[in-house]
Amino acid sequence: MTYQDELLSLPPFSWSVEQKQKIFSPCLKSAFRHHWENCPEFQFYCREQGFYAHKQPEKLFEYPYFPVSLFKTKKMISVPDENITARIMSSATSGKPSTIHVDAATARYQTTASTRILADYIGPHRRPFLVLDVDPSEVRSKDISARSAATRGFLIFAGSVEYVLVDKKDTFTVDIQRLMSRLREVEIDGKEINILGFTFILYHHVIRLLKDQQVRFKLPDTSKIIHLGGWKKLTSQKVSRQQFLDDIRLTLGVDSSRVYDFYGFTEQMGLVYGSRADHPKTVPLYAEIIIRDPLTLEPVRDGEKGLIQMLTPLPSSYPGISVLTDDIGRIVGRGQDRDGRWGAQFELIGRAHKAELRGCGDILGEMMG
Amino acid sequence: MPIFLYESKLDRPTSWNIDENTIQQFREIENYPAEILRLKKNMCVFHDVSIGDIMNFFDELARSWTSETPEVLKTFSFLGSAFLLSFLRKRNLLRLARAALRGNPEYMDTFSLMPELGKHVLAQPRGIITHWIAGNVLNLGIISLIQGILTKNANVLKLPANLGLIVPTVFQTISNLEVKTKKNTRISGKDILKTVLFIYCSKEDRESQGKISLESDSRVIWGGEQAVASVMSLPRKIDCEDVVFGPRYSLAVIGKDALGQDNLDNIAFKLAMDASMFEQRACSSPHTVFVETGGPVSPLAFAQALAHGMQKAIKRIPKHKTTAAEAYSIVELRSEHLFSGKVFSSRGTEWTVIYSEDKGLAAPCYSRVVFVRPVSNIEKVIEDIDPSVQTIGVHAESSRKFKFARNVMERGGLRITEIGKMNVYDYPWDGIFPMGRFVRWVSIDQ
Repeated sequence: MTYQDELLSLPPFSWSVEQKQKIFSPCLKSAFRHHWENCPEFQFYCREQGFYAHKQPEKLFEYPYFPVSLFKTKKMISVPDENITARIMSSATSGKPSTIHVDAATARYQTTASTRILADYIGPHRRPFLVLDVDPSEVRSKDISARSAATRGFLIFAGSVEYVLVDKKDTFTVDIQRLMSRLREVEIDGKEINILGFTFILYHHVIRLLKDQQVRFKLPDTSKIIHLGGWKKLTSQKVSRQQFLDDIRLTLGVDSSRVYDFYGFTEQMGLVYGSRADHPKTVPLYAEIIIRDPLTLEPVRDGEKGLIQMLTPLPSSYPGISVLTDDIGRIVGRGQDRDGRWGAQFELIGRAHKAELRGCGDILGEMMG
Repeated sequence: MPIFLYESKLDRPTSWNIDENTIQQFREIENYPAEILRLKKNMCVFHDVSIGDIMNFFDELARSWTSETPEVLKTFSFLGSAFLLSFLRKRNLLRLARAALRGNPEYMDTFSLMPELGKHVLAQPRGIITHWIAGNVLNLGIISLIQGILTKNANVLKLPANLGLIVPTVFQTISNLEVKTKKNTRISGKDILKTVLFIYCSKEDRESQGKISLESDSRVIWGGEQAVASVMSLPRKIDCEDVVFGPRYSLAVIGKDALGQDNLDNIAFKLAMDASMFEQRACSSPHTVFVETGGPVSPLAFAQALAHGMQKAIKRIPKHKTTAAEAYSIVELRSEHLFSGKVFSSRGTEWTVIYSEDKGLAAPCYSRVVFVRPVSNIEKVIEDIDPSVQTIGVHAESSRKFKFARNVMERGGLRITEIGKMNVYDYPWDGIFPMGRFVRWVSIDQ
């Protein structure tokens, strides 16, 4: 059993700060040693910054970190090339996308992590899904887009899946008539439906449209809305989180307590950070968050904002164990969250503007004009 | 959307940015042309005042900032206090006015004989000078305004949202100052302020921007490509004089024959100061430094010395903030170049020196990131120069420096300075003598 398997055998949100430290730190040490020994680029990078395998950091914040963009310019793998079974590519439209190289083991860790975390939020049972994306089944490739990889993680919980985006000559549109007639059926049927989509698509191409056309639904009480991919485009359109939640309640009849927002990124695929309604997101056992001050790059005190660094021992085929993202956030709690989950709680505040202004949902949004 | 007029009497607003809270310090202008008409009438305060009197006024302002109200300079130290003080000195203003006004600033005051033409000429103020100022280097906004006042124009400052309250707050400090004129009358800061409007309107508000533009006899535009293009596309008077200070790139070049162990630290420190001032946001800030190979000091050794210089400079010009975007870009660049060059940096994002054998001009990162690149001959740098280049700090043996200057400026580049003086505002700036553009030359035949 690998250290990743051992970690993933434990529930994601049941550990106090002290308990988590005892479990997480040795795993990260093992991961550091693995990548040091198997990825020359990782070793070089660490050496250049004064880190060595025999003298590992004691504290998590002392670990060296890569900016996520380094995966755009450098091919970094920690297993033999022939073991790579898939490449997951981020959704950048300009410049190079990030590419992570995944072997069977890493793919398994990613799937297990996301399954355990998602089950904790939305429940482990299977239910019908309506997905605001195009049907990926026709695309057969070793290269997987991060968007499709992100939605795929949720569909483990799908009894049936319907895709409601249609591809018209590289421009995606929501088949709104089909979606509306399906929602009417669900309303009459009274059985749970989960609507899954990127935040901007969900709001701009569905909720706003229903609101403008004064179409109202009352979806069954167990139904859920699951969205991901960030708020950038909605923020630029001055749509607040509260308005987003209010409009979902108005148009779909789904209470904010059943609206789930998930955050994650290509370079640590499989790790998702969830929140319900307007709550902060909670970090599971499988990862840890550090917020770094933009001037000193030192960790800030809880409550202060800065760049988000995420650590996880899960990836074994590429050295994405400690990455600095271009997202800005702040830690708002360390104990149990409002739903009783243990783990650091954080808020996403935005993205560093000069960084590539692209996230999955935004790209899809752009393709939809 | 309206145009707002700044009229706060507060010494210290809650924020230097113009936002929904601080906009309370402005009042809405109902009729912009009527406001401009009032402003034009106020130009009469300059009738009995000579350009020399106005220079005396600003010289006195510099003295009072130094001796009586040093807190002004302390509060606004990030504007480059020493630089601002030396700009305001009469000897400096006189020097610039002479350069811009055909050798004789008195053309501003009275018809004077222009010997070359054999007739009397007068430099008449153009009228309303509107300055679109940028938030990145605010002292250039102040400098722009002072030159508009010296040429006895009425001035409108269109403030940027970012740090937009700094310039009016600094300028309010002239209101208590009064100086005797040559004719034994007095010129007061209050009178001068009557000829200045500090206004704000949203940059998306094309209608208001258009009104502002149409009332301008000269448009002075400081800013990036987008900002300049936006103002240039506004409607204008047919004879409006446009003075554009657009986006520029600056660099430094070091010749092998002028760099040795004896002056290495000195040159490196001077360059570090050039790169640290204004957080590299000025158009005159160096981003790339080319160091010639084959001399007693290698380009890599220079990069190392520059790193020491940057560390020393941070003590002289402390850095208070790096934005998250800048910080991420810096970490990104450092990480990339660890694999392809050598990175010297502070522990945080305070400063970074990146040595690599990449060719050409590095894309600017700002925030005290300097790229050091070797070059076999300084003449090779010429290939990289285009019209967007402004200042080239050159440290080379004198004859090579002139040869380099002659060749380089055919392709672009507007100023060659010594290293250490790259950010000193001087004439010509961006190829322009601004005061000369703020007047109309009128004549009487003899």
